[in-house]
Amino acid sequence: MKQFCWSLIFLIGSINAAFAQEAYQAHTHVRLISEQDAVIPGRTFWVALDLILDDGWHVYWQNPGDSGLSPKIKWQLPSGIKAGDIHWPYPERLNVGPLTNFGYEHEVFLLVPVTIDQSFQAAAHVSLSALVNWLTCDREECIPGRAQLNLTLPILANASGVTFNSFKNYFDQTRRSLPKLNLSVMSHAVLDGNQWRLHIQTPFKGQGDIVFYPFRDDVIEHAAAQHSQVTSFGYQVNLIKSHIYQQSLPYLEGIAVNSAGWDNLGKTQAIIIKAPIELAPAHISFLIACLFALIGGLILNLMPCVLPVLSINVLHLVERHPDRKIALRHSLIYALGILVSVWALALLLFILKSIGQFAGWGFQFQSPIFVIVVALILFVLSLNLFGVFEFYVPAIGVSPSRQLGYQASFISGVITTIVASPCTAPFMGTALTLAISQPNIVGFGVFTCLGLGLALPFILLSAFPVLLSFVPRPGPWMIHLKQALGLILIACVIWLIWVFGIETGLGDFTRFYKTSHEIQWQPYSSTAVSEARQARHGVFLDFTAAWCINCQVNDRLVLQNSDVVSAFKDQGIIAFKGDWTKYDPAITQALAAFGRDSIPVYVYYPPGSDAPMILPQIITPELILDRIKNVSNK
Amino acid sequence: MLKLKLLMGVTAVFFLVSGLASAQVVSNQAAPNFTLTDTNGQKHSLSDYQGKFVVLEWFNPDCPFVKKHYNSGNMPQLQKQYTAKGVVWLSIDSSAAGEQGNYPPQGLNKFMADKGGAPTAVFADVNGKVGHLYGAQTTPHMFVIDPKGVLIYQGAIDDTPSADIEDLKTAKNYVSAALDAAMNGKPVAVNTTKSYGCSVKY
Repeated sequence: MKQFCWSLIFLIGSINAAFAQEAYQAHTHVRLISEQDAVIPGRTFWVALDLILDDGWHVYWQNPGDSGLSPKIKWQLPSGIKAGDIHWPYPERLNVGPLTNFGYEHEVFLLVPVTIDQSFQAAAHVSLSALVNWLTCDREECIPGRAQLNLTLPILANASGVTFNSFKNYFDQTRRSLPKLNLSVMSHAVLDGNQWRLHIQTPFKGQGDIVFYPFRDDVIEHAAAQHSQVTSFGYQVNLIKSHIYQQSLPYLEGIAVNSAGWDNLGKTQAIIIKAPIELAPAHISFLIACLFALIGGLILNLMPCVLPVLSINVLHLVERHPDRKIALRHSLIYALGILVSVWALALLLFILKSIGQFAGWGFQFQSPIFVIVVALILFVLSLNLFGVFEFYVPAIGVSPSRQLGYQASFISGVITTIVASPCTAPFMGTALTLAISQPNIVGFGVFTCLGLGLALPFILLSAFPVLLSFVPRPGPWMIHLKQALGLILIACVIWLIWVFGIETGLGDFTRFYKTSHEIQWQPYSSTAVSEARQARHGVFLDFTAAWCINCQVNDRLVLQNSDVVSAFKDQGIIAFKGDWTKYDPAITQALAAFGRDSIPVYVYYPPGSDAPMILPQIITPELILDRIKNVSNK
Repeated sequence: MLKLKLLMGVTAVFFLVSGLASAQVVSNQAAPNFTLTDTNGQKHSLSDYQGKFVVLEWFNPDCPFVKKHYNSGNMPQLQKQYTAKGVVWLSIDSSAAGEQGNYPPQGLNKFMADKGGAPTAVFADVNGKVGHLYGAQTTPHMFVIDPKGVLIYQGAIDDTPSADIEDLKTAKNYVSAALDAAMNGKPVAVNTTKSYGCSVKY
């Protein structure tokens, strides 16, 4: 697209019949050029509107930027001939004072595909006419140009006689400057206050600078500097939101130009971007995040594996009536156990974050050793509840007297945290997203609040024994309750063994009860997903893990729902499961590309669409059916 | 030392200019006040016109988009139609000295007289102060302010970006739509668009 030597073109062009008369107006030589010397009915060929500009003058891209106007071609064609839309090579940023335009200097080929009908078989020539309007500006002034252009081409009956002319090189050169659709690149945009953060995930990362050119003229401040940086999964480009942006658009669309290219050879310079827009999590203050974390922590106490552990401690209070001071001390040490383990978890997450790894809440369950140790601890606890052992809280630090060791309270706090971590409670997601995205000191604060929430019920019960006054005196009911809690723990143990089985490849122990009527899942791979999308199938992605309780609940209640299963089958949706039970860099990268730091994540690509819909973390069969139906009806 | 001062000076000017350039107004918010001397030597402040509708029109006599709207009679007709209804119409040329469209006051008056223009007042905003204050980017660039001083429209004059007079036949005028709606107590359907035209020659 860069300047081709005008005189050279003129020289070559003048001995060639493939372009028509040219016009010179508004500091622009303008003409229509064909890539072929002759055309064949039933085929498509390419025509270019060639604009050659005097020095210092420019014409505009499809979005001209702050001022200006893009060229327009009004075709006057015989019936049976169809001209497509202009294929625009990527532009440059042209700064004019405080304003910025998107356009071309020197010369540009605007490519147009033209299809000629079979019915032209008998004709000798085809004549294309176009009324072209354009605006040329320099730093000083703007001049509108308007020209009636013609192009006459001979018709050939078959392909054998067709030759490409000397302009073919320029067509090819221009094609390299056209933005490409690259299915291995994924993007999303976050609107955060007056800023856009455009995330572009690409398997090939150069050290290039990215410039984003939006198709719409009201989404970014064109003149504002664009800051791009290389991230662990590709690039992030920061853009300033246009002050006239009022829409709530589903996508941020445009092209992204990479100075280092989008592939190994640097061949693709520009790609098409259609980034689903999400709103940044509302800027909640630290105090609100802390409150959310506290509430989330409180709710975690009700999770199936946590409740029995808490209950053991509470029952101890009921049974022993320890001195209030001692009880309070135990509860504070229990809280310390929770906090220390929460801090350890936070520290690990931040270390992983700092080395560019991506991890989220519950990631430690990706380790089978961790899983089996937790299973063993829970098993011992359940035996304890069944009365097999004569101590109350885990095996360490139990003194022979009625006095309970402080170590036991500490360990109990640690266990509470561990068994709570595969669950996510309401309010927690918002708080943890902030915790992981903010400076570490803020993150630690939020994690601390989560730990306090988790510890709070037991602290309150210890500090105010009156809260337990409604509980009957110790009696046989207690044994039944303990057995019930023990059964819950056994269920947790079975679940953990299932997770362990999957992680170690020993097998899915629950397979026997699965029905044949279920979604045919394929393992996630970015190539398989690209292929399915190229074949214009609807594509559903499920990022899940055996240890993620919310994922399992969604799976059983929604994705195994017979209506959902039938709808997937009827609509030919190809379903991929990204199993994050074990650490998997490919899935980690895919999650990061969708901007998520906790699972489950559900994504749906409608057939033939290059833009994903990210579904909420809590799904219902109605929601899934609605989304896939809505799109297929269009 | 001198170099340092120079550097600081340049930096300060840079920030001042970039700060000015990024000034923007938001529809449905108070329009910022300004005071300018018109081409007949008279001072006008936006605050003088509390209680009246005010139209700010950025123009440049040499811009083909401005010519389209003046040579066709479109802009003069709008000015006549709405000033007759009590609207205050202020036409502002923010071309800097030496830039295209920069004329002495008499030159701007002559342009208006030749084209049959009828704005309330014409201004040469040579230092671009008001242009930057409103974030005027193109000529034409239109702003409509209601009697309470609230900006009710900003953007293009109409919905057909072109320099072609022919297009006026089918174009939908945003300024008259905003004024007509607001004068009848109705909400303004389109209160913000992207303006089109030549760049303002700051």
